[in-house]
Amino acid sequence: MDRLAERARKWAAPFARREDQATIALSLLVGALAGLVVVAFILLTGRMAARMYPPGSSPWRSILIPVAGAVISGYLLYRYFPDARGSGIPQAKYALFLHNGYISLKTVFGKFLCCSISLASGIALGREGPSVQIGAGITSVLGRRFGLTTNQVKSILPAGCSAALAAAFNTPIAAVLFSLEEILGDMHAPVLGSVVISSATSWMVLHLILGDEPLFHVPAYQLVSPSEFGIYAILGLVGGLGSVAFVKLLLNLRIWFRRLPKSSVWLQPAAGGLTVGLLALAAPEVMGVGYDFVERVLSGGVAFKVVALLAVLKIIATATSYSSGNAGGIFGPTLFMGAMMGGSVGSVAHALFPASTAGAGAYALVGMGAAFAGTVRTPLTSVIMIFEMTRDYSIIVPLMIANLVSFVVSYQFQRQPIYEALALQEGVYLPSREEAQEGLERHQVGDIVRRDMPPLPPELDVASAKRTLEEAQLNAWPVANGGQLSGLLTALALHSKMEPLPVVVRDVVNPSQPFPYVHLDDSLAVALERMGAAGVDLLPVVSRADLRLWLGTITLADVLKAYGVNVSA
Amino acid sequence: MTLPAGKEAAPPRAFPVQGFAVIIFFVLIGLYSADRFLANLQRRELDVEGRRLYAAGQKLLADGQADQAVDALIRARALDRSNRTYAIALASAQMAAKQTDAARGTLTEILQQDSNYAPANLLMARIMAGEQRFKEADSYYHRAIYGLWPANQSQERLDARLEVADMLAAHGGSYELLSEALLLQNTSGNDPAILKRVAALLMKAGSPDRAAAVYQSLLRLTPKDVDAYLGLARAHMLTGDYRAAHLALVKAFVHNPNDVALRREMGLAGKLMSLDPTSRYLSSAEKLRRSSTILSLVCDDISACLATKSAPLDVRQALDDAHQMLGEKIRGIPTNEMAEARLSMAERLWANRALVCASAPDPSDPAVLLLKKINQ
Repeated sequence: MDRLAERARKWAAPFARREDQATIALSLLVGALAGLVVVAFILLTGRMAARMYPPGSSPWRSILIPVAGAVISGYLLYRYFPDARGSGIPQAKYALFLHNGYISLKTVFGKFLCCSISLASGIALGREGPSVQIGAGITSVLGRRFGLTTNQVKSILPAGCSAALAAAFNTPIAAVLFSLEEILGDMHAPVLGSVVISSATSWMVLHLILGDEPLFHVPAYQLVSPSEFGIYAILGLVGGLGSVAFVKLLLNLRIWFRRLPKSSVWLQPAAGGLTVGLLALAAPEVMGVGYDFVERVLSGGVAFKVVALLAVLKIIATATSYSSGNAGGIFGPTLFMGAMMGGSVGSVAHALFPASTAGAGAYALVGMGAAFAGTVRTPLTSVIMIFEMTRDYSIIVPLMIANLVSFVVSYQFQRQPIYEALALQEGVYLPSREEAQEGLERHQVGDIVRRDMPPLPPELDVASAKRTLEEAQLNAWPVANGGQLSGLLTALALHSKMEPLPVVVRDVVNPSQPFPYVHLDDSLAVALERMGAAGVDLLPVVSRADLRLWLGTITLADVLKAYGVNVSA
Repeated sequence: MTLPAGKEAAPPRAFPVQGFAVIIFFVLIGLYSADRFLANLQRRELDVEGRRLYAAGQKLLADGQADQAVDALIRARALDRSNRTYAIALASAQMAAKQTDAARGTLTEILQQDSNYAPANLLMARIMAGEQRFKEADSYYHRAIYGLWPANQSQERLDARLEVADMLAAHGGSYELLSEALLLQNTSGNDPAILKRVAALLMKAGSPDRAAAVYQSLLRLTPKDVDAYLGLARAHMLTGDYRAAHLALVKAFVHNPNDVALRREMGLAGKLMSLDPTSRYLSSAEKLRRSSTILSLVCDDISACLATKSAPLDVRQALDDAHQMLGEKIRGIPTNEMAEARLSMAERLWANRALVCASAPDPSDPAVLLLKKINQ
C-alpha cells in the first residue's frame, strides 16, 4: 500500500507543481463524477415516475401522488435539507458569491433525494437546475477534500455547473455558455478551460451510458420564406409576454407563500402538488418535465387548442409548484412553455399562410429559445442551446430575432431576470450582469488618467528629479523626450545608483530597458496588479499603437480613490 | 429560506489525499455500475412499453381508427427511435389518417439515416404517387425495389415492382411500363396470379404478342383458366390473329358455356375473321367483298356523325366518292387492286373521322380493329 501511495505521489508530483495541470485533472474528475451522478439522477427519476404512473392507471393517481410526493419532499427539505429547496441555480450562485464556494455533501444528497421524489411524483418542475446545484456541490466537496484554497474552490465551481448541465440537457456548448453567462455573469471569465473540459467529460459520460440519443429528436428545420422573419418577431413578442406572465406569477405567489406561518413551510409544497394534480385531470401533459410531449410538438401535428391550453396550464403549474417550495428547477418548464407558445403561434401562422410558413414544429423550436431568453435572460445561451439541438445553421437568424424581441419585451415589464429576482426575495444581492458590465466599464484607466503630471526630461539634473518625487510623495515618475518615453524613474534607482554618480536623469533611466505601463482601456485591477509587481505608486499610460507614446499618468492614490478608498484618511 | 450569514468554506484540512483518491475511484466505479444498471432497466422497460404501444397501434389501424393509431405509434417510436418497424408503422398510420406531411417527415427522417431502406422508400413512393408526382414516385419505387428489405426480400421487391407497374399503367408512359412488365416476367416465376397481372400489363404497354406468350405459359400451368383464355383471345385480336383469338374463345367457352360476355367476344372474333381482307389464300373476289364491307362500315360510321355535325367539304367529297365506289358495278374479274382501292378509301375516310365525329370510336368496333391491323 505504501508503495502504491509512493507511486501515486510520484505520478501526482508534476500536478502539484503545476497548478494548471491540477485544475485540468480536477476538471476531468468533476466532469466524470458530476456526469455520473446527474445521469443517475435522470434515470432514477424517470424509472420512479414510470412506476408511479403505469400505463392505464386511474386518474386519482394524478392528484394523490403529486400531493404525497410534495409532502414527503417538503418535510425532508424542512427538517433535514433546507439548503436543497428551490431550483438550484440561485443556490449555486449563492455558494459562489456568498459562501466562498461552499456547498455541503448533505445538501448535494438532499437535492438528489428530494428532487427525485418531487419530480418522479409529477411536480411540474425541471431537473436541470437541481443538476446544476448537485454538480456545483460535488465540485465544492471535491475541491475542499483535495485541499484547494477558497479561491481555487470558487474558481472550479462553474466547472461542476457546466458538467451537470451538459449531462442533464445534452448540450455541452450551451452548458459552458450558461455557466459563464448566468452562473458567473462574465463571458470573459478565466475559468473557461476547466468549464469546457468538465462539460465535455460529462457529456462523454452521458453518451457512454445512454448512447448517442439527443434529448429531442427534432425534424429538419425549414425556413420557407423570408416573410417568416416577421412571424418569428411576433413569436418573440408572445414569448416575451409569456415569460413575463410566468415570472410575475411565480414571484407574486412566492411572496404570498412566504407570508404564511413558518410552521406550515413543510406542508406548503402540497399546494403545488394539488394544483398540478387538478390541472393534470384536464391535461396530463402538464405533469413532470414533459420533454416527451415537447418532442411531439416539435414534430408538429399537435392541435392549436392543445398547445395553447398547455402553455397556460404549465405556467400556472410550474409557478405554483416552485413558489410553494417544491424542489425542482424552472429551466426545463421554461422550454416546455416556449415550445407550447411557439407551437400555438406556428399553428395559427400555418393555418393563415400555409404556402409561406413552415409547420408548427419549427416555431415550437424557436419558441423554446424565445421563452428561455425572456425568462432567464441569457440570450447567447438560448441561441446556442437551440442551435445545438438542431445542428442547423438556418435556424440561427429566426432564433436571434425571436430571442431579441422576447428579451427586450420581457425586460420592459420585468427588469430582473428570474434567478436574480428570486435571490432578491431571499434578501441576497447577487452581482447582476449589468452591474458587472458597468463595473468593468467604470473602473478603467482612462477614467482617472492625469495629464497634469508631465514626464521629466532626460536632461533634468538628479537633484531636481529627487525633489519632484519628494514633493509629489511618489516613488516613480515617467521620463520622456519630446513625448517619447524613455522609461520610469524610480526613487529606488535614484538612490541606489552610485557609480558613476548620476548627474542627470538620463544617467539613471536606461531607454533600452522595459518599464511598467498601462493602457487607457486597461482595468484598474490591471493597473493595481502592475504597480504591485513593479513596486511603484505611479504608472505611465501609453498608446496601444506605440508603447513609447506617453498619454498620461495614473497614481496609486487615484486608483484607490476610484475604488472608494480614502487615502488621506 | 434564511441564508446562513457569511458561510465560509472550511479551511483546507490535513487530509489523506491518496486515501480520498481511492475512495473517489471506488465511487466512480460504483456510480458507473449503478448508471449502467439503471440504463439497462430503462431500456428493458421502454422496450416492453414500446412493444405494447406498437401492438395497440397496429390493432387500432386494423380497426380503422387511424388517428388513435398514430398517437399510440408516436409514443412507441418516442420510446425507441432506432426501431424502424415502429417508424414505418407510424408512417403507414399517418398516411391512413391523411396526415401526409407528418408521414413525409417520419419517412424523411428514416431515409436521412439510411436512404437504402426499402420500406420507407416504398411508402414515400406511395405519397408521391398520391400527390400525382409520378416521376418522383417512380424514383422512390425503384429505390424500394433495389433497396434493402428487413425480411422476405424477393417477394417484397416483386410486390413493389408490381405496384410501380400498376402506377405506370395508370399514369405513365408505355416504354417504362413495358420495361417493368418485362422485368416482372423474368422475376415472377410460375405464380399464375403474377403471370396474369404481367400479361395484362404487357397488353397495356402495347405489347400484345408478348402478352399472348405469357397467357400461353399461364395456360400450360392452369389449362382451365377462362380468364387466361379470354386474355389470350384479346391479345390475339390486337395482333390481328383473329383465328387464334376465336380458337381461344372457343376453349374458354367450353369451360364456361354460360358466359354471355364470352359469347359476345366469340361473335366479334367470328365477324373479324369473316371481314379480315389480309387473310391468306383469299381469292381476289373475296378480298374485294371484304374490302367493300369495311368501306361500307366506315361510310356508315361517318354518315352517322354527319347527321349531327357539319363537315368540311373535302370530307363530304370523300364520302361521296366512297359511296360512288361502293355503288359501281364490277365489270370483269375482280382484282386485288380494286380491293386495295376500297381499303385506301376506307383509311382516308377514317383518318378524317375526328373532324366530323365528336365521340371516339368503340375500340371493339370491327372497323377499328381491322383498320388498325391493315395499318400495321
